[in-house]
Amino acid sequence: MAALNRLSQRIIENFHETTRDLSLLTGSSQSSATYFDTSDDKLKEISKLLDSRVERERLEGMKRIIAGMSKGRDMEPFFAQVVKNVVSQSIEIRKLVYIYLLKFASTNSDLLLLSINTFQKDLSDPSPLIRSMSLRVLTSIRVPVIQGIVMLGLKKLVNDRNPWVRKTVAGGLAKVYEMDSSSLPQLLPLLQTLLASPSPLTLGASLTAFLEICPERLDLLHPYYRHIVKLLVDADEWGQAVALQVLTRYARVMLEQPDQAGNVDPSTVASKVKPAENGDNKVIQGAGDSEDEFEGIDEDLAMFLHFIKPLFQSRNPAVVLATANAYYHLAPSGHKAIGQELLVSPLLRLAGSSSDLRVGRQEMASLSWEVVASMAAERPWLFAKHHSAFFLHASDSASIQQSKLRSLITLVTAENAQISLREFKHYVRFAEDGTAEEAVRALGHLIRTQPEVASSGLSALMKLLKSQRDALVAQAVIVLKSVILAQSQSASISPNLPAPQKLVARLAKQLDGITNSTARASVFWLVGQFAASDPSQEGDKQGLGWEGMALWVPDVFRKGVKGFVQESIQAKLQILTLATKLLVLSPASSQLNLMSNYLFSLARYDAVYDVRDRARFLNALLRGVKDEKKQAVVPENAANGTDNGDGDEAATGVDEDGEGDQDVGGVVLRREQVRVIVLGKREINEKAQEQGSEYDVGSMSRITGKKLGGYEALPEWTEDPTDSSLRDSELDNPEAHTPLPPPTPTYPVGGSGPAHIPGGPPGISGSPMGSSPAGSVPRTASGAAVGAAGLGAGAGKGKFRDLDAFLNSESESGSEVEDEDDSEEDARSHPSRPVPLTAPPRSAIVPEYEEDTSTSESESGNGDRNGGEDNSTSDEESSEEEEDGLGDENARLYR
Amino acid sequence: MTRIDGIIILDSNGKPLISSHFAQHPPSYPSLHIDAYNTARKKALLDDEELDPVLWVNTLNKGGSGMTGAGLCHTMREGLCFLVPVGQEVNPLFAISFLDSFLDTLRDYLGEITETTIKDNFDIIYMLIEEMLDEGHPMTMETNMLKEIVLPPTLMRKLLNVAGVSGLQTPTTAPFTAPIPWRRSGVRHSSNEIYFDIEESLDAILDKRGNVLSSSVWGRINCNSRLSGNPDLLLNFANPKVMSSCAFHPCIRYGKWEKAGVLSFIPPDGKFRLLEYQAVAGTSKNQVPIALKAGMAIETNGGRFSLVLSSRLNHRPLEDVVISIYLGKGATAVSATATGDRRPIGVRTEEGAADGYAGGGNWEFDPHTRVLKWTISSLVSTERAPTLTGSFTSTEAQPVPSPSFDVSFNVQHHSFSNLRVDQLKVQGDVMYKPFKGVRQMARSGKLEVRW
Repeated sequence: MAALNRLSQRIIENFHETTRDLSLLTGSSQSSATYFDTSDDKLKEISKLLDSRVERERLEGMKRIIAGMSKGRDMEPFFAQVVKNVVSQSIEIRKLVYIYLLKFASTNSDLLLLSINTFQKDLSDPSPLIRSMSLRVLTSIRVPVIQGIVMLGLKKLVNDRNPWVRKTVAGGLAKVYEMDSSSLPQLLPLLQTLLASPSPLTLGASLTAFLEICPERLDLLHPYYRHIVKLLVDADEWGQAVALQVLTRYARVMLEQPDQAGNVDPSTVASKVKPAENGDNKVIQGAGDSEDEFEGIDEDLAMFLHFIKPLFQSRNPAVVLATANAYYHLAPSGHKAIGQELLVSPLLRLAGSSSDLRVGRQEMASLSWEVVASMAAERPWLFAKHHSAFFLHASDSASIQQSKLRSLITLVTAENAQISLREFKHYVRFAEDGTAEEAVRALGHLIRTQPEVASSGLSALMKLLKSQRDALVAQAVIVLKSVILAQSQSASISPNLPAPQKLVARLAKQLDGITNSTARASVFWLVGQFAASDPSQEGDKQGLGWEGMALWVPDVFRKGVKGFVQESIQAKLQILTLATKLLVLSPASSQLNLMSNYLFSLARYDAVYDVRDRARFLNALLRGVKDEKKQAVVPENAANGTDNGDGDEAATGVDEDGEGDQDVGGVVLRREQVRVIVLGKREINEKAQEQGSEYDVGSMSRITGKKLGGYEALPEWTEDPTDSSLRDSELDNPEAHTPLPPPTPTYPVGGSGPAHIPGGPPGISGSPMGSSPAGSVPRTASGAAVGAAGLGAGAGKGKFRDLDAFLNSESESGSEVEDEDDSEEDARSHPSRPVPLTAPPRSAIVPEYEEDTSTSESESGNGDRNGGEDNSTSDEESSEEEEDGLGDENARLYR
Repeated sequence: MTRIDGIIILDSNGKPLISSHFAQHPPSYPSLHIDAYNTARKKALLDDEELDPVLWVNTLNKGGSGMTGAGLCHTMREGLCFLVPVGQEVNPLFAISFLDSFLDTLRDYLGEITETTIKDNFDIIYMLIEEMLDEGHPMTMETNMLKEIVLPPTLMRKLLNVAGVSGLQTPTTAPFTAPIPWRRSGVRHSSNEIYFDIEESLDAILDKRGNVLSSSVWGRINCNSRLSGNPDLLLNFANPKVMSSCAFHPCIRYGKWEKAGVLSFIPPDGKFRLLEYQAVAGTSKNQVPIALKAGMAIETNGGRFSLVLSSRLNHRPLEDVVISIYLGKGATAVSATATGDRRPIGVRTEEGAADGYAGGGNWEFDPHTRVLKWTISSLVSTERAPTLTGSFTSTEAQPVPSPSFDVSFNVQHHSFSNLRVDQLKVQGDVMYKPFKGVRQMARSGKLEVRW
């Protein structure tokens, strides 16, 4: 009994002990406090923890160190103690150590050298995880001394069986290059080995390394181009984004530009007649209608565009955008199978579906709309059919509204003019000022470009002048100004609009209601510009008003002079300008002279020097005009042929003009000359400066409007495309070389043809016909041969097997045939499980993948192929059906 | 190229919690970004604006010899700010997509992302970032694969930790060996089940007369798979044609979809988004299941409005209907009356429980956001149309309310596109019959009615 008591007591004690620790670890606020408490005595504790023998305590210590690092404390003093933990058995501790080492390695290289040995040993560790991790640390430690070791490590692992390890190698290449760019010659062969790797997993990393090391050496990619294109669909998403970028560049530099690439609206291009004969068409091997579609396009380009089409349906927005970019920059327009138009709906889906607030991807939405807007600005015809997708929601964020509105402006056509008008009028009512102003500008654009809605648009603008919203009124006046100017410059622009003078008159009538300073300034400017009356209507005035100008002008001027003191600086300057213009028009009017004298006096003593300065300047400019008036020798509208020289006029001195300025010499202009100066035609510079438009569509620099590091404009299409035979390589048709079944059958090799397939490599004559997309892919899509066997039970494993095949295919050398067969049979008995546990270990390395190489390109096509191979044993008959589905699945998988 | 500079997580006060991957940059680099972000955010809050999706941050270049700059992509979740500086030219959506999947992974590991969970598991987060990013290049992004290398924080592991048993921490299966990147090998579940949630949302703009100016239906199928082994699924739809411009999870076999309109895939384990699609546009008016007759008249220092709401959906009630409108900068107060059928409350309604009847719903006006909200818990087509009439006052002489009413609602077991799942076949090496569940949900996205 006593013993039992004691036992239970101990259990309870133990339990208490445990739970106390537990609270430390289970994440109550207290525990995080311990980690993040970085007071000095806590720091001392760390070194004790690190030296502890108990793994848990060392882990605890490492955690505190990482926490300290994230708080910005200097954790370097612990370096020696941390390095010791590199040999720890616990992966978790090791990881934290790695994180630490990466941060401080370069400053503590001496101490670190002590641990290099461990890493080096780990490079041969049976676990791929350890191998890859140690290589990563080795390459990330940027210490020149160990570079030799690093290179050795890279060389050793570049042929590692595990693609994840090879991925690390690819990452390492860039790091080594960054540290020592002279190592390039040694790195390139490694890179090439990686590029040739048949596994889609390493594709992204290899190309990333390519970009980091030698982005300009696109010629290196020749032999791998088709290989990469084929692997692309199965690569990981981030790799796809990189690869698309590289290949887009490659295509621009190396491939032939299709006829209608770039900004070519297909509707404006006359429908071209297809040449009837197929005979000399290089792209097509067999006859058939479906192949015709790629005619006239560089076969490698067509292949690229066709093979990346599935990537439009990626779940990763970056991939969708990269694909769209590739199409945008490469694809011909108006093409049925690989036309630019394909990029529209995926992009709109991306933009539209992510703008839903409840999905929580607003940033994504704004960026996508921004990209769409920049594309629409350059090629509006692409998006014309999707006009309504751009309509603004009041709940959209401001930046989305701006992007959409910009697109809507570029999308305005005669067909949608009415709808656009309705929409723009609606957006003007938005509570958000920025959007509403932009909408007013959009109205202006509409009026200028679409005559049939011009008048109703104009009335909407005029109505806006009465609005209480200051910003809108200002914008409306400014837009009106540009409309009026456009109208005055080309009389034919829209007959539906009233004459510019009438518009200005209407605008001037609103002057009292306009409070915004910019707007008032614009009105004064416009009045001056259009004050001159038509000489033919001079008679209608019946002697009222001032000669040479419209009836309503004096009153505007009167208001301007009267309120001058209260006006804003901008408006003051424009009132002065107005006075000058009027004086030029009608120098004889005494009323005008009195008023302008008064005005110039006011301005002379204005508080702002800009105004004073302008007044002086204009006054001096007017000297010649005033002289004329005074001497009254020159008839007003006569061409002044009998004029004296300028210098003479200047000499006649003017000092009674209220300004009292002395004769300062210089040039005095005659009235006609002044008139040209102040009333000359104005350029409309309505062009809204497009931010960052000098950068390529779909680049980050375009979004930020500033050049980011590493930005390089996409090269123009080459004049001199490289020969397609450069891209022929054995990688396409591995079976041409080796008796083994081809390792990478995911693409539908020579799909059309049972005829091609039997044993013999289809394109062995050095031409890539068999695998060119024209030859194979369309048929896959319609795929009679493939569709037949397709849906069987075995089909499902296709994907799975397929990947295996990829992974496997490193074992290309013929000597491994035996092994392959063994493990293949093995694999059959466990069809869906990787074999690490059961497969016979080969040398020291445990094979990580099922050694199933039997995925041939076309068992679906022909059963007799098995005859050629010795391994179709009877016990495989059972799985024969599965096989059937498999080869066929390969085709289908090949999206 | 094609790299991001790192990840910074800020707490709600703008203090850094996690800041990772800036080894190649001067130590001031992350601080510059944090500072730029905080300044921009403060300014945006002050001016009542929103932040640009990408901020520009001036930085010193690597050699420290000259100025250059970086774009700063950012997002905000649950009060935390996630920043990704981009110092080099990259696909514009790259950083934000990365952030998106990073957050998905975090959610998977931590359950919910809060300041506390991040602080408690910062070591795991650091390890995750370490695996996901190799000097800014995305490395291992598949959650299933990450789980093999970085063990998620489970209670079991904590217990083992405490007990000092660390040998068990090494994962049972060798990492990096699964042949399918998105699925671990050797998954075991005691009960095998798989659930599909088909969720559709409707974006539309309706004009005053109820005409549809533009509309689109976005659908997504979320899946929660708890199946052992390597099941191979075949999902058939009765009408796959209604789905267009899809976005697939990588597990889906594209070719089969193209040819036969079936989804064939080996699912990842756990929750994932199988598919997103856009429903093929139907032009019919009754696609929008709700009708709102909205009238609004602006007067000096205020305005009056009247709303009449009706459902066009015959067989199901619209739930959680909310009509909202921003009444302009100066709006101060609203007075309104809501009328409607006085009917006994169904099972679902909690509001109005005081009098036992759900009438025309409730309205409220928030003087801070200046948004008027009218909430009706459920709306059926047979009842008398609920109305809301009233007026508001404003300090502005001529108030500028939003020109449209936002409408939101949910409909259970409904699909705008009529997408129907026909059957789900489970193939592959599995011996069990899994439990299969499909649920449909329809809701409004950005739906607005202009007045």
